[in-house]
Amino acid sequence: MANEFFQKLKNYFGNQFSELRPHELVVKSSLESLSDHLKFLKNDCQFVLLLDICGVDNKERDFSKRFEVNYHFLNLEKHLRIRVKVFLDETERLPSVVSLWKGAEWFERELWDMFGVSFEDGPRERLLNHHEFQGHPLRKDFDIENRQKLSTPVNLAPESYKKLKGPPPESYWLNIGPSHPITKGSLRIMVELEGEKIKDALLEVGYLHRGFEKLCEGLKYNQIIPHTDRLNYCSAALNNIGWCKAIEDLMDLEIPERAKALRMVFGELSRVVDHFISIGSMAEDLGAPTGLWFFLEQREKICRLFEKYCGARVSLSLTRIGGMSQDLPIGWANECLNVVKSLKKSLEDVSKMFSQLPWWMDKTRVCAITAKDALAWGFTGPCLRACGINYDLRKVNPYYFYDDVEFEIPLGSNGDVYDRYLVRSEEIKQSLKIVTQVLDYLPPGPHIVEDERIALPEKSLVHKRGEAFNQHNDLIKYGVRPPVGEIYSATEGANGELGFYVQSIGEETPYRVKVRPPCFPIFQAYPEVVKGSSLSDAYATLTSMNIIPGELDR
Amino acid sequence: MILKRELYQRHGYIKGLFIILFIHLRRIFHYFLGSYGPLHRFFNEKKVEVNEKYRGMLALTVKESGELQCNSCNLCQTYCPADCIHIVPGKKTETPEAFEIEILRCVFCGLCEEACPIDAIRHTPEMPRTGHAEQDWLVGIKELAYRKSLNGGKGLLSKVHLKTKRPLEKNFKNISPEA
Repeated sequence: MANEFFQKLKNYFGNQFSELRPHELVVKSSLESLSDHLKFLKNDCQFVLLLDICGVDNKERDFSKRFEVNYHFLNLEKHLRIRVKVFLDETERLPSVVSLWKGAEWFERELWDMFGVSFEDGPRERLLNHHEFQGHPLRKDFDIENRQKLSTPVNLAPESYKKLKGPPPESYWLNIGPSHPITKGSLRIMVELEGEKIKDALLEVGYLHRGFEKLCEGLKYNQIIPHTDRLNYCSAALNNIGWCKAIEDLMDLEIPERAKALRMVFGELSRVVDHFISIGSMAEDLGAPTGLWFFLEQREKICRLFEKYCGARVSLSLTRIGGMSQDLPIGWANECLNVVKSLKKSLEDVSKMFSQLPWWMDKTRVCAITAKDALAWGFTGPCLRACGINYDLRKVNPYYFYDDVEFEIPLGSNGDVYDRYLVRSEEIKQSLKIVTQVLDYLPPGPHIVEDERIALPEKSLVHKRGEAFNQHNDLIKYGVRPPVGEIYSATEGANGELGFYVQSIGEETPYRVKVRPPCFPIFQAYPEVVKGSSLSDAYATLTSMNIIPGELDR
Repeated sequence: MILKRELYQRHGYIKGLFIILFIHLRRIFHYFLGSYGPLHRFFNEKKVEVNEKYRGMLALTVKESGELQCNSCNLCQTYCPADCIHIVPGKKTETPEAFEIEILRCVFCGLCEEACPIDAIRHTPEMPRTGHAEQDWLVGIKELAYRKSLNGGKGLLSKVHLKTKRPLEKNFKNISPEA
């Protein structure tokens, strides 16, 4: 079956097609044939989900053309990822793919913003940077030290809405944000209201843009881990795991069994925390603030566990390349099992408080999105599963020990706010189930690989200033060095597929890092989802999608 | 797993009201019974315990003689992801002349602690301090090693006892792997 499919791809692309790793295919395309190739991939090969569009500036390398654009697509049925590579010069223009995948719009705007790649069908607006900003920051020759003065806010709505004189207009524009109690960071929404109904919505993102990708180009691989904490700050451990897994896959490194099990435990606990905050803040915004306090009380128990393990409560940085930062303290596993037990007990109360109550259902059975639309926009994670599509990376491509544990993937049917809530609350229970199973059979052994080129040697050996001291010194000064290559590695984050695209040229710092945040395509669909509903439904939608600007803007 | 059909069925308004009332009354009852921990925890009468592992304000450790343990090897400065440590090595001795940390830049990740081969820098469970102006956030040796909360101004004793007094570089070259 798979061979037939590969043969089909080989027949069409010829020797431009290659299989880099299992589940990761590469096609080298040219500018002229790009749109034909993409049409073939979408219509004949069912690569229906656009994951990412990522640019690379090759100025520091000897390539004939300056820019490289990588499209990443996903085939949900066969679980195959394909990367389509195109090379182009500064003067050349890229064909737009918005007609094929709706969700490509923001990715293309980001590409123009960061690299200055222009498109055939006219200019694009900036997305993450300010509209007065000069230059394209991810180009290699961009001067970071040159500070620019940016003052005027962007005018989202048409000028006419500001008029005070004359007859009252039929519709008016309302500004939500950049800082508003319903957002978990800073983002801005402009809605056009007609009475209580929303006619249109416009979005502005980039308020929390910190240049994560540019920052990574100057940091060593291990130093990037604390920065990944700040992507999705509700579930830091999942970001740490995603980053470390990408680098380990690039190096073909097998981490010890204990490290795998520990990563699963902390990843699932982090997912639980993220869903707690998501559901809790949803309850608060819908007028049930007690719900938030219920969930924060439960979250506190898990935060204490994190504190006991690594010394931080939110920004954990608990993984290292090749394993975990430290072993479990004595008695931690028992304590964790007790916490899981008490969480299960109190979650029953909470689900009784929300699930079937008429007030909650009145407020949340709104703003549905169909599965077809969700795929076109590029939804992943709980928002996609709420529409009824059974796609979870932990089941489809089981990394670590997800193959050996028993758990189920909750699926909704309508794709509305209520379904997103149900899927999340059911996922909490499944995650807790995974934690207990893993802790019951926690494998013994080292928590990090015993390889002097990757992991720091034990501290007690370093003190004696022997060979171990040499290794310690070298590793800290020169860092981990993955081989030359590129990888797109994805893990199941709390909000969906968290992907890291890394290009290494064999040096201590990565050449290019691109994060595929799960929020980014989801938030893009927001105007379409809320159109026609009331303002309070728009609030419910925003919180149920769990948009986290730290991850959205990077 | 498709979610259960019964989850989509709704209760009546009156039944719902009684469910919520019941849950809340039961919780209030349990609070006074002490099922969720001692009562004074909820009225802030006792200080919240911070784990000793907590990655809070940084501290420099000292030798038994009272001078700094640090020998300006610059490993923590190289490894710091936020670029917040600045070390000026001493001219005659290996003890640093100045050791400054910009607390505002620091992300409290614990990498400096991991990088230090001789346990000279450590996170303490103290909370990072507050300040009025920018100079309050640039912390020097006096504050890092000899502040009052660390053994009453004497400083924390390092776990590693160094015998040699020679500079690091020389020592590093002379030693063969077998030694």
